[in-house]
Amino acid sequence: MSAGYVAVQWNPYKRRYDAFVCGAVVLYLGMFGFVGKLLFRGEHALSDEVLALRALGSCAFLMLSVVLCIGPAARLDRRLLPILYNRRHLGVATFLVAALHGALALGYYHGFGRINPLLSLLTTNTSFTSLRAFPFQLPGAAALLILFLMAATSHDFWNRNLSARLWKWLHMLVYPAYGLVVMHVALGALQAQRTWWLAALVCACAATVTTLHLVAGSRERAADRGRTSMIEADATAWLEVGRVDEIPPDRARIACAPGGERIAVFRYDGRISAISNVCAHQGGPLGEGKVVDGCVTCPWHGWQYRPADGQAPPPFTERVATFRVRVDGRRVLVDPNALPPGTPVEPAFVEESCDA
Amino acid sequence: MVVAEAVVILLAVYALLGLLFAVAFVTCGVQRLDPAARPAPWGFRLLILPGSAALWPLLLLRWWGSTKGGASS
Amino acid sequence: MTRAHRRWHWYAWLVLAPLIAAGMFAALAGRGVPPVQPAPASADARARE
Repeated sequence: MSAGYVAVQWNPYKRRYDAFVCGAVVLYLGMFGFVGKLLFRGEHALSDEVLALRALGSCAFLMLSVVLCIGPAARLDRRLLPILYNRRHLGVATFLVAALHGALALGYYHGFGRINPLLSLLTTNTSFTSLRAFPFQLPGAAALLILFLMAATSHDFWNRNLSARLWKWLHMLVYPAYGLVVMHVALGALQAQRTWWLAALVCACAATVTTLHLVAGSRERAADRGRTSMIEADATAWLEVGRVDEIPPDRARIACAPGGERIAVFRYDGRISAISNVCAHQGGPLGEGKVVDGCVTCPWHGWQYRPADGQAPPPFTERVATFRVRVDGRRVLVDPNALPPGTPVEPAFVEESCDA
Repeated sequence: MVVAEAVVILLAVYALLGLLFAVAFVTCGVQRLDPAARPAPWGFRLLILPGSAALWPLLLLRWWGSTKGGASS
Repeated sequence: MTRAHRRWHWYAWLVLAPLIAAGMFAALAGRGVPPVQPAPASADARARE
């Protein structure tokens, strides 16, 4: 949260996560080199540079595919949320591996000549109309540029100072970047390497990423369109959230007003409070988080808010919108009109002993 | 070829200006733009350097805006 | 995520999915003789024969 910036807000979990990612990358590169040397021998032996190029390129492609799968997969199965938590470090690691691949390719194929390497990259191959000899390096370079922009602006400072909206737009460029990377591989490596399994692997990665996003996206749309029942009382159209015992203790049930944003209705300490489901940090789903130490904790990056007023505990200053709640018998009702962020709202009290 | 040369030269000029701006921005501009960055350590400043160099026109506008706003208040 | 954001993610993939599929199909269907150099992997296949 934003009481003051540090380079990285380290915690033991992030250290373990990063150590695992580092270890996996090093292991993959090592194995790739070892197997490559074993398979290609004699007159077909590959130079160390080409082997490293392929190892780094394939590693970056696999990492990007995994990074892109985490979001929709965690929406489909909540057990994957811990992987989502530190996804940004995985994204930066992906950029670093891709950048090494790009730098090595530029140096190996375009460096040490009389022409500037970048100029050589842009002018050596201009067969834009050919599928087989397409300058596949260009989509790769464009994707690398996007990954650079994302990695360079991954710190929370940028989220805050570019505005959350612009930041999200910038980071949604990863989708076209993935399309560019798939084209880079399909028009490059797959044109030169004819083994069926390589084509199958690339197709499987692209299909998994695409399908997961489409499935998770269509479920989210269905949830947004979900039928809700409204109850008229006190000149307010109250939104019926469900029965008290349908909300697990220290957890929330997410309600959705027609055409409106989602509302997270929490039950904690014999009370019911409703706040916006959208975290002020990166829009994480607060209603999928838990109440920890009396504060609603976002499942994405652990930002916290007090359920009764939507304010982050001091010294933090973030706020989310709150909603009026009432309990009618055992039914929980919420007023779908959002109050300004940080507005204190009297919680509805419930008897915990009534739980079935 | 001419277009490619122009692209490379423009890119180089943009990057060079960006680098110069970024050094100035992370040393004295960042705390003006965001008070939360006032006590920020050097690790943080180094970490936002590449982004500052890449997005320098945007930050320059914001920095300029913040100094003007600061003068009027 | 806000409702608007979920919608944009959905539209992005609605556009991107067919593009990626078509691109992959075209690239794989258009594979002919390697343009620059013979693939080392083909030697691997020959060795197995």
